[in-house]
Amino acid sequence: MIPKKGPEAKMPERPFPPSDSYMMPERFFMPEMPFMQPVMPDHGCYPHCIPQEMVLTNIKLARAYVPFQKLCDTYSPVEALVKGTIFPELFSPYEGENKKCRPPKYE
Amino acid sequence: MDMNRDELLKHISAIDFVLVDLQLYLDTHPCDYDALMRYNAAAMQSRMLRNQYERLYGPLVSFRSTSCYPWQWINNPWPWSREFNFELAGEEC
Repeated sequence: MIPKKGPEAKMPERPFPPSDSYMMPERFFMPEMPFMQPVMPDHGCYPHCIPQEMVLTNIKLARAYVPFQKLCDTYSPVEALVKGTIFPELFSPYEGENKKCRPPKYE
Repeated sequence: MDMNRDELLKHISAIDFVLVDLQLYLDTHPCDYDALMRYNAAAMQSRMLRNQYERLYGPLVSFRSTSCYPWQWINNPWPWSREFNFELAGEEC
């Protein structure tokens, strides 16, 4: 699916009004929130490589929405072999505290 | 380009990994001209490095590789031997 951009892309209508007390707290009404707002991506030097498709319309339940990758810089072959991907935007090592095996520091 | 056996094997593994990742990208982006060019360049480089390796150090696979006389595949080291494989020294976890 190609998400629309620009002012013509509208938030979905609120599917049901929040009124009764047994319903969820107001803050859980996602459609009312400026949801999926563009957030400055935490990707260091590669923000321009990740399409910021943040306005999705006609959202359906139980569907996954993934931004469409675009080709950008790639690692050198040996660096890619070490990191497990050729795409810097996909390099995301686990950095848990309690792991004996820590990822090497690259940057 | 003058590389020893380990260096050559490392570069073959690395370029083949690039091919795998670009192949996955191209599966979903078949019309990405730039990606296809990079893929083809990497495929050519992989072929070149394999030829160079096999010329110097013998067959990489038990089939498809050509062999000089006598049959070279049974020579040590075997691919699953430790000494066959290169190390990403200091770079691995």
